[in-house]
Amino acid sequence: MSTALSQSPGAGAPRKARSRTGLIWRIVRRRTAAIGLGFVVLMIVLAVFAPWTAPYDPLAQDYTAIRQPPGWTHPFGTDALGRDILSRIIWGARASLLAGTLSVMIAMLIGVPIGLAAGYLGGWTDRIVSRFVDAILAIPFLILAIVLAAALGPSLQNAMIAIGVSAAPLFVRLTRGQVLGAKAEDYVEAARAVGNSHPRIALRHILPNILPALIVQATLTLAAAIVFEASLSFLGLGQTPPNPSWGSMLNDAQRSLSRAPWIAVWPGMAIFLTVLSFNLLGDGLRDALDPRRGST
Amino acid sequence: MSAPQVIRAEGLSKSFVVGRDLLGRPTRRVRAVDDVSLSVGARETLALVGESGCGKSTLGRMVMCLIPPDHGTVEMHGQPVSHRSERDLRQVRRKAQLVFQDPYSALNPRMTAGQLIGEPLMLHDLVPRADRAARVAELMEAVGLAAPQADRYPHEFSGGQRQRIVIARALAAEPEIIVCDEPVSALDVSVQSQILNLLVDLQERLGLSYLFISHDLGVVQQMADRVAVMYLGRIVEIGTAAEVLDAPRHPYTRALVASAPVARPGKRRGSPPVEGDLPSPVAPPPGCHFHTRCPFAEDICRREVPALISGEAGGAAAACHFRDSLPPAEPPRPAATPSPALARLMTAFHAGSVP
Repeated sequence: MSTALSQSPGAGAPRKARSRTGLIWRIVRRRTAAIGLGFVVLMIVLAVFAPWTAPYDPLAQDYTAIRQPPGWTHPFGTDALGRDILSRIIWGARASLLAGTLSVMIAMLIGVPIGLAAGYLGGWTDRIVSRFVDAILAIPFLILAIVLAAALGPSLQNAMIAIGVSAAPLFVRLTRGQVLGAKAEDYVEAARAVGNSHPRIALRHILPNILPALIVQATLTLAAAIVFEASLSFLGLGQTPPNPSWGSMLNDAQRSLSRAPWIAVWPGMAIFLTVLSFNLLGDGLRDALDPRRGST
Repeated sequence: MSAPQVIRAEGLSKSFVVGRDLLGRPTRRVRAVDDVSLSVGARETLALVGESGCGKSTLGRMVMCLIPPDHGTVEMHGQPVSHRSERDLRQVRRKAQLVFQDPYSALNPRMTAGQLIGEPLMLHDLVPRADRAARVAELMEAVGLAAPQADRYPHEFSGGQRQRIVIARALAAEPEIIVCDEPVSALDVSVQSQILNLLVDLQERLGLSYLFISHDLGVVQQMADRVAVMYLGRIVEIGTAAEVLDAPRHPYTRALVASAPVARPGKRRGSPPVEGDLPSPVAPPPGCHFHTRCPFAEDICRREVPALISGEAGGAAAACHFRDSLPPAEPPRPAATPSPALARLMTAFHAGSVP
């Protein structure tokens, strides 16, 4: 419906609302992206309302029901301490989604302004920033995050900071490249001719035009950040026990992998499906935000 | 010539680095603009003609202080304006606005027409906030757009309409001179004349001056009071439109005029077309840049740069050592009588016979 509208310039009045429904519509129309969006929304709802959606207390230990296979009382089974796995998955989603979202926000808050400055100012600023970023990107991401997390001390908050800082160079490089592309457009020169100041050109004219690429990168990085949070928690550098996170659940599960494999399967599947959903959503966003389709 | 010039450029030069060594030191430079002087008076249109890559656009942007010149100065109403701080330049630039070749990339795709046109009003505080929407509507109507279209985005407009938005935005800054950089060459022919007529109309109503950059002599003839011809970063001939286009003195101008398409089938070109390729601007030929392609070139042309001065008979100033001794150019305009070829075609057409 929105495509038909945007092709008929006659329909005028509720413009803002139209373009916004248009964006969601363009995502939903792509089936894979819609599935991704649906699963992400489901996980967010489950996580936000965890006290009501989780059937049990995620920390309550029940020594009469240790390592129970999936069944009617415990749909996903119980772990080595008799804790309900479904409840721990739902509470763990809080940690994972929070870690993903916040670390991406940290990465963008650091990376986008630096990339914008480097790309827009060029010259020595750009050369120094680029060499520095290249050097950091040469270090494997996980190693960097582990070093940072270990230095900061194990906690979910420090894991998020470590992932965010490690992912920032990605955003520096992406932003810089996008700015270089946008800077060559005539409308940037036009903005200068009309009397815009340099900060205003960068923020008002260039940033909105490179935002689609950044949003897409954010969703993809969010998926990666969830994996890295799980990795750090698995290594004991993230969520502190006994609080659940998908990574620390995997860590617990490995000790009884041969006797009770379902303990590992559920958090593994949760990570897999959530990351896949964010990736599908990111791909869908990339298509939906393509400026040639005339979004916004 | 004593009338105050809106813009006067003296000895402008600009070179760009095209090659660097390992340490980032420049090794090769291209002289985009080489010691060019020009001026544009009030309500005057100066056309800047030349092949692509000859430095027309660079010159236009230097005149507007969008890129700083390496050498030379720009004056506006006798006040030097080049080499000032960025803050001052923003005020200066308001008086000289730019219309781009490609209306598709000249408009920020994420701003509405109204925002785009209103931006100069806001930036320079030309109109109180409350009156801005009304002023935007006024500007849109002045360029032939409907005011209710203000909340549409650029992709919802056609190429010609976008160029009208670009012009409205330029007008919003209340400029005295507009640099038009090939303003119609990206547009359909039918739209071209509409935009040209709009520019002429606005000039008459608002008393604007234009620096009109183009490679299309047909368009130049329609628009220009004076014409400057550029070749490899230098002006080779400058004078009134009639002088330059009807009695060109410089061999390059002659070749350019002769190669312009003429609506007359079978007509022989007045002068031989220019032979060879444009020399590399990184290593332009010594002396007169044009000597490698000039049919009249002699030894002096390879050694000495000719001055840009009028000949003994007056008329346009030409940078040619032989400006007075070249054989007169054939009239480039077609004579009123139809050519024999056209006459044959027409009789065949009227007879309706198939040979």
